[in-house]
Amino acid sequence: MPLCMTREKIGSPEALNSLAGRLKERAGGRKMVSVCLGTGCRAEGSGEVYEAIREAVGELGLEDEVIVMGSGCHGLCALGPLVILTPDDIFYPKVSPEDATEIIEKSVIGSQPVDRLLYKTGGKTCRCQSEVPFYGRQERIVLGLNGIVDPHMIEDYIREGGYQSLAEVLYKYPPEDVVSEISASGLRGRGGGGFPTGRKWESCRAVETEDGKFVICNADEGDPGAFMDRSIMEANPHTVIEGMVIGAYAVGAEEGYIYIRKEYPLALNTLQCALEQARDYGLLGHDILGSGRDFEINVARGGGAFVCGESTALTASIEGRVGEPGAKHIHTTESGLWGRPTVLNNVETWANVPEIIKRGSRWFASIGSEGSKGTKVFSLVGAIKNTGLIEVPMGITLREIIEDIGGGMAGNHGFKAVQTGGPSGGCIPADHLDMKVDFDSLIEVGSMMGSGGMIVMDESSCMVDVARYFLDFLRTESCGKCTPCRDGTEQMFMILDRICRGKAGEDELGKLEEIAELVRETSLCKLGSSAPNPVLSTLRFFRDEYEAHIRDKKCPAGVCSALIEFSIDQEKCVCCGRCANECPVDCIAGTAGKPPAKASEEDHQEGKVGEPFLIDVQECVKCGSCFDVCPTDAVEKK
Amino acid sequence: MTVAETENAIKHTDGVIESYGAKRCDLIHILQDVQEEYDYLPRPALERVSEKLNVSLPEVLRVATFYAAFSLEPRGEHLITVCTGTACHVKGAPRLIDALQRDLGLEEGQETTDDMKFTLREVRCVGCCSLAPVLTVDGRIHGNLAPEDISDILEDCF
Amino acid sequence: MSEIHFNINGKEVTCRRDEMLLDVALRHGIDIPAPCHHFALPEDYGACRLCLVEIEEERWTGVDAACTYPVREKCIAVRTDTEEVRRYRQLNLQLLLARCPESESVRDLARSMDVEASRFPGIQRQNSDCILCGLCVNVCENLIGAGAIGFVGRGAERRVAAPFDEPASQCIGCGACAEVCPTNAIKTIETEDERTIKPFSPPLKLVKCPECGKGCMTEKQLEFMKTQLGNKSDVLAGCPACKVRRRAQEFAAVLRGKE
Ligand SMILES: Cc1cc2nc3c(=O)[nH]c(=O)nc-3n(C[C@H](O)[C@H](O)[C@H](O)COP(=O)(O)O)c2cc1C
Ligand code: SF4
Ligand code: SF4
Ligand code: FES
Repeated sequence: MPLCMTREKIGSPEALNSLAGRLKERAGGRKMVSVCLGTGCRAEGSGEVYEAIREAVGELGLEDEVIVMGSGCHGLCALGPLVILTPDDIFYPKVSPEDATEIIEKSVIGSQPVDRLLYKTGGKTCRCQSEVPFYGRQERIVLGLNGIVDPHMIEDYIREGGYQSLAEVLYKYPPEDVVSEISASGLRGRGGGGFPTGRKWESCRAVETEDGKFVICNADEGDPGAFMDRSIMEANPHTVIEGMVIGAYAVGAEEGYIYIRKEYPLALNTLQCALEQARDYGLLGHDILGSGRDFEINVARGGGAFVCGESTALTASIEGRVGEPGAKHIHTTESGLWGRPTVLNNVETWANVPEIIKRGSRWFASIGSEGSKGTKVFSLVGAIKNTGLIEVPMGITLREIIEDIGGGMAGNHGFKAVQTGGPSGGCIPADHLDMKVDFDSLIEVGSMMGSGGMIVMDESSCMVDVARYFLDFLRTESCGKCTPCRDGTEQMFMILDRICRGKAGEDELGKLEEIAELVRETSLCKLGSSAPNPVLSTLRFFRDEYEAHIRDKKCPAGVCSALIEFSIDQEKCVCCGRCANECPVDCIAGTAGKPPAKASEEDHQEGKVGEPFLIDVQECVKCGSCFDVCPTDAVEKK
Repeated sequence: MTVAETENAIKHTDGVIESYGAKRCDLIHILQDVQEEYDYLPRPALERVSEKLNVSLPEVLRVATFYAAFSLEPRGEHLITVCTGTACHVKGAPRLIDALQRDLGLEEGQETTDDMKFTLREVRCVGCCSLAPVLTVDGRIHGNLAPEDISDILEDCF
Repeated sequence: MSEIHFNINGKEVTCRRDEMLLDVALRHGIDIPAPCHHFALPEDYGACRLCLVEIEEERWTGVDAACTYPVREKCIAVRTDTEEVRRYRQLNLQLLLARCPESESVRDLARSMDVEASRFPGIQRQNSDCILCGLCVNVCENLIGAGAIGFVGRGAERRVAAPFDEPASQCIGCGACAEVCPTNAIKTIETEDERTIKPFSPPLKLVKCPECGKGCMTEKQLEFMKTQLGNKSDVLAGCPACKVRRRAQEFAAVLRGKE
């Protein structure tokens, strides 16, 4: 895959330009097949597709004319493995290895789409990515190069204009101008809090110190249900690196860290390779681009603790200690890592920086809504057709995301709620679907932007169960230092658990609200103070569901196993016996055969008639397997 | 651990510590590398790290019991991890866990089967939510699962 | 260092910039419950959340822990006894009571704030008198430097333990942890020959005071102090009472000599 070339230090902006020019020339006229090797597509077998396509190219002796590239996530994970052909601009979803030869012969050599492989939706056949509705409403700044660059080839990034912003900044802007450009763009932190990035940089830049400053990239991404930051690092790591070098120049730092989860081996690997290549070219390290400036990036691997995303916990973790937050009255920009002035930004925040420098703050500020500029990347998942990675302008409505991009609900249940903001966020019900998605509007409805997880839930989700799920997460992820968070989340979880098991008394909702307020107001760090959000937001919009659990001992969505019972409608049962086969505890009895209603005289004589199946509710463990496999929906869940 | 195994663990740990230049700030990295080798943190290794980095043993254990990536118990031959990210949860991860616990004969709170054949763990978000619910067996991802699929998946391990 | 002027409960006070609010309040005789604060330890941990007070700043007013709040210019006024502050303290105490239902000290503290019993079900844990304030860990690791006990686990599972839950081999038996523990969850138990720091240490042999013959410190403690201070064993030997007496006699002798 890597075309052999030695990487030598680039000593000036002109040298960078000429390298970019040469790379463009070399790519010109060559065809490219880009196979998505993101985690979603990989799990669907895109690795094999990639190999098959390479083989097909080899067999046809086309290695010199066709580049086969393994890229980062293209976004539409639901239809993986995805393949994109350039410059012919053809988009293939759900490709299998058997399609490889046909794709090469017909589409790469012949530039003609293979009709059978194209994506069809609503009676329309889409030839290229932009015709696919999923991509139509998106605006891709951060994800713009996904699928176009090979994340393991810095040359691809340079060819597409990468590191030009850095060169410009180093040679044309004094540091304070970089800061004001970022301030003017209106960029706000993408890691959850939405703090104005320019203001953060300015307060760090203003600190005078002899001991050095740090910039840190927060790639912890602890939110269970989000994979945006990881996808960015896997698909286009250089934009993050370039952003960090620019930031370091702006605030006067010579050392930086990327704090990344160990559980992301692919991203870690890609990143390390990218750092290496950037160093080889002198885009990182000593005397960057001949400017006389130094900046080095170290990688710190996190060990799987949600709280380590919090800034003081994160710096403690980089220092090799437990990720326990400390009281935060003195800003990280004044005293952060090892007590030195530190700028901490999220992956996506850093990734926006080069583009803002390149296209100007005014361009960036023209995208988005009043208080939230630019775009936001979300991982759109759950009960929706087009799950995947999306990037949308701020201010887009939830409905547009769910219906236009997400393609509406999957399955046959109606929409119930969308969860944003992860464990610190909340659930938004149907009557708010026309709200804008930006920092401030989300907070207004009791949720928050968070880092960008967006989970769509349908009528088959129980909101009490969802709240219980998040509190279960939070009570185990609480560092356990302070009383309200440690014991308050535990007590909240216990109450929710009792509600889900039908064991809660009428006064428990009051208690729940009381502890929620305590935890929110008196916890030491933001993990604690935002921990009640999942409870408060579901209580606000779905109180009746809580009451049904408590008063009627019923789970309306049929999720809480203690409150549901499975039974078989004897009329509907066709005596196939599949349920009994699947039942793990053998508590379904009956005789397989012809359903009595349809049996003839002969069947009776030949003993071919079955007996409808029955569940022994005492023994039933409520796994729901029978419900899943019954071909006639005879199994009922109540 | 036998005496020989202990000696080996110490030797290996020394190598890891060396590779980081025995710096205090690399405590987590060092433990990660040891965990990578043994799939858990053997006691002699922990004691060695404490000694060589000049960090008290309680402090090493504080770190080792804080981060979810570390385990102080040896794990079974096959590692099954069920994703309990939000998307997987709403799509039925708890039912997969119930089924696995039942099929493997694991008690509530027990991670590894008595015969040391399987270890069942939960992880938060594998990152392929579009395939929810998801589990991995020895690193291989299986998606779009229902409890009925569990027995087939386990059978593949034998 | 600039001085800061602000008021606590209407009373004008003055302090250094970045002095912790709790220290300022205590210095001015204003009582704030603070189990996880100890004057001997340089840095407060901020864990128990009982020292909550209402703070009014130029652009923000809210409740925060006094022990970790460094006073700066923006701080205008502090109220330590509002209805809200009381309610939050009481609720946090109820949470602690659910954790330590048997602990006399927690119950006393609760009663002093009109909390009789917890409205929350107990969470059964080992060492159920511990409120996880962290003082013992801090004193052992940072002040004494023995590093015998530490926190393990996180969330509600967190607890204080000796490594691998075995008798702490690094414990020198100084008893500092028992001394600082606000809930008496750690006890120093002494027989004629041995001292045990319950529940952490093995029984540790005592050295006898050369003067009165009573056990005065553990052998390990003496050894530890020797390595820390160099071999000035004459300074170290003897029990505190005898040492004070000896000092006094020496002092008296000096004074007499001067006459
Ligand atoms: C409990 C907790 C978890 C967090 N997790 C993350 C995370 O995974 N990634 C992230 O970028 N920020 C996370 N944050 C926010 C960071 O503390 C910090 O605000 C952010 O990284 C700053 O960067 P930004 O301004 O670019 O958003 C978390 C905060 C808290 C309180
Ligand atoms: S709020 Fe929770 S996570 Fe934060 S310090 Fe307190 S216990 Fe730890
Ligand atoms: S044992 Fe005592 S001093 Fe140690 S953490 Fe518990 S309450 Fe605090
Ligand atoms: S004394 Fe301040 S939190 Fe405990």
